[in-house]
Amino acid sequence: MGRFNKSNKNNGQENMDFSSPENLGTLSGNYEEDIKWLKEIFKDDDSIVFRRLNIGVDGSINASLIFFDGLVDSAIIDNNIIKPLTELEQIPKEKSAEDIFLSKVVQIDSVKKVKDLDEIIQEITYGDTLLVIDGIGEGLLFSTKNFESRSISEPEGEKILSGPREGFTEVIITNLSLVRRKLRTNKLKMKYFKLGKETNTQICVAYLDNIAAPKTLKELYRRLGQIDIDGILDANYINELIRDNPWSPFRSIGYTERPDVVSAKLLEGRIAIFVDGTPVVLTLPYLFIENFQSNEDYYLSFYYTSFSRILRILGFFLTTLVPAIYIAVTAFHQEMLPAPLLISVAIERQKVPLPAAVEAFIMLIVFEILKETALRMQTNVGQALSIVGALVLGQAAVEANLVAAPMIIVIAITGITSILVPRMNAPIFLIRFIMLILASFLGFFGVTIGFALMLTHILSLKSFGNWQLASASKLNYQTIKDTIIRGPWYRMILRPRQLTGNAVRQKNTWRGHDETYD
Amino acid sequence: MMRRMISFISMILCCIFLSGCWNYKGLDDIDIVTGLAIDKDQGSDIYQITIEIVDTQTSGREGEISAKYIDAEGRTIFDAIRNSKKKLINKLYGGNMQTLIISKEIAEAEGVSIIIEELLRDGEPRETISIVISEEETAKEILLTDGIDSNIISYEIHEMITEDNKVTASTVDMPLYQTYNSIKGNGKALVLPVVRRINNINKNVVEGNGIALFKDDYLHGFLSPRDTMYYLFIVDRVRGGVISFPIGDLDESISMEIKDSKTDTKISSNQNKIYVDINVKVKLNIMEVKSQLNISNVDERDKLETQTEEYIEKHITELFEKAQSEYEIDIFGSGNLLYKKDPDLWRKIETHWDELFQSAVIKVKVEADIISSGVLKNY
Repeated sequence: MGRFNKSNKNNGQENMDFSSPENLGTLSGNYEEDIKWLKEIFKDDDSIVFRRLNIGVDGSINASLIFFDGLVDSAIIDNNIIKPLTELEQIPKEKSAEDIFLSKVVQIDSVKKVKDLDEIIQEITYGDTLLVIDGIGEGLLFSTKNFESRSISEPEGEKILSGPREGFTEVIITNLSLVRRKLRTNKLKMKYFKLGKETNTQICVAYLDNIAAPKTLKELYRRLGQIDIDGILDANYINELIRDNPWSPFRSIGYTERPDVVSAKLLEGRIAIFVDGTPVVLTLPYLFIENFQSNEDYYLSFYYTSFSRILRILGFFLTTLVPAIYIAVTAFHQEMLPAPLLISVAIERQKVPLPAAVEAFIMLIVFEILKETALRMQTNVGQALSIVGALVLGQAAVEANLVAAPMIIVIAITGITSILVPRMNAPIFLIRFIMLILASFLGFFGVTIGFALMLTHILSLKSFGNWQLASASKLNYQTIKDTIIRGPWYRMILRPRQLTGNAVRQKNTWRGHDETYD
Repeated sequence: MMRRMISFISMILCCIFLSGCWNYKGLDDIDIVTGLAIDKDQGSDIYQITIEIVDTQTSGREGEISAKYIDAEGRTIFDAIRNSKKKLINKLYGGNMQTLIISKEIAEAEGVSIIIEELLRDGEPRETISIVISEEETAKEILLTDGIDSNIISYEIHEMITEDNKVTASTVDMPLYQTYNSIKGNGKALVLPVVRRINNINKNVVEGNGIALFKDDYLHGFLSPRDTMYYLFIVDRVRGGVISFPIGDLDESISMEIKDSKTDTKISSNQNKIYVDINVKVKLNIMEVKSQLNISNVDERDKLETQTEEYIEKHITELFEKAQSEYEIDIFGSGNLLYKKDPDLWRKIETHWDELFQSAVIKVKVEADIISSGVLKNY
């Protein structure tokens, strides 16, 4: 029921409701019966308010306002609904009385006629107010939403030095407005959906009409239509339900909490998914290089940010390979080390009881534990923890000859460089351990096997019909301008070709340069 | 999915169990060999080797790195190396060995090629280790001297030889692979650096002392450090060094630093006679003048250049003639030039090359260029 599948060719023209709640029927039109039924539906829920009104000159007509306490703006209900209703002298007797109420009596910007109980429930639980009047068959819904929300602030996880500092909040309307303000064009389309059978979460798919690839959009709608989950509390629910390569640790859908990032991705032909209740917005398709990109790359000098990107890519290799290479070199291929370095490491290794490979495993696990506790701890115990972590585990372990000093350096490099690529924390953690296991059994041979497997896997990754890494069929400036380096803006003439059918971004600059850039 | 998982896991398991002899060998399970000295007790025909290893036990985080020595005996060198293991917990690891010291008795009596081939067959030692000949009674004495810069004498010898070649032109740097090439190459001649033990401020230290000359792989004679420079001029291996000599009629000395040198040797044969034509182009800096010589004057400089040319020419000719008359072998590897030029001819004359060399006619031409006088105007 209501499942959105391949045969249902819905291209976004009608209101798509992917959720499939149990059908409660409609309002009967009989006032007393409807109120009774509504009270039955919301039985044992004390937060709902049934406000009885007697309207008309003689107060002979019964009416009821139904809303949830705390979700609504009381001032609006008092001044714009109750006041005009009670002051009403003439009750319209015409056939379309509800229209008169909506257009002439009540002073609310957004109003709606409803009959369907499921819809009524979804709306009043989101802060709307229902008005049921004796003698009028349909309920009237008024938008009276007013709930507490966080103010706009810079996202903790994506701080930058220069550039816009806005961040999304938990309210989808606010989030959409932040993007709308940046992209002031009618081409920006925002399609609403509801997902989650119990949560009825508001979802919005946003894209630029002439830039986003229609086949990607179609594929996205197909996948969204197949979701059959009771609740969606964060964007990652949707990410995992619709992503490609579901078992891969690498991302295939991007995420951000910044409106400037979403706007930039939309301009490159990507599609954004907003989810109510979370500041995280998904963007797709996702290319592998996005793991190493940061919005700040585009706000600072391209020399500097190109270098930063190279550092991030280097960081990825270091954080995954350094422990494995250390084990391979010290336990299998000592001849790879220059003599003075070999001697220094050997002197340190001589004093410690455990083999280097076991030591590496233990220290990496300890480091992961430290990292996890730092994330989970209450702020007021933070200082104690960092002292214990840094001093006791690092310095004391070396001085007590439990852990070799070079191992501490290796773990430190691994830990620091992992921070360079925050979007890859899941794959990094896995690859690092797999490489370490391979290195402990096979030395460099194992590292090479592991590296080849990793590359093969990354090359096979797709995101909504696009290869994540193997996209550049021919190598020229326009295909690498925004990958390992970040070209200057005046040379960023094309959008990523595989994402869009409308690749030319700077038409006037493009003209006459076809041979040069294509 | 399940099938793929199972095949992936079995691949990993195969890696673990079928990994052959590439075994995990922790750094704490090996003794790092830094140098090896080989002697032979001529009476009993038993090799006596001394192995220098890094002392990882007493070397501290703050303290200096020190070395340990192990003596071992055996009927062959490999036997002796394996016998040394009987005294040790850990396996010897030779991948970072840097110096091999051979006593002159062995070099004289049985040649160096057996030792070199043994090292090349062994997988661990690098092909870049330095091979030196001990001028002392035994090679062990050299290994047991004190180092000035480090306690590991093997590393000190290795560094000393590779650097000396560039600075003093008094020795050659012969890594293992070049040594082997020199023995096996057509018409090539093997030379190896010589070290001796001298006293330096109450310490016995090692000093490079010229080179050892070989006939095939047997020790044939020695060249003094001074002669070594002219030897290097002939074989075009001068990278630096100092020339000092008395200036003509004045009874004063001058010192010049060699900045660059290029030797072009041509060899030709005509009616069973070999002609060697040596052209040396050398660039020099004046370092020290003990006279009132006006070196900023062009004529004076030209005169000085001519004197330098004559001086170098004289010594190169002398050395060449000494090799012809005294050593009676081609120590310069000139035969290799002939082999490259005319392999057919070389094959014909190969057997009596040394006789031909003794009667070879040499012509030496040196072009000296004083590129910097080092004199400041208005000083």
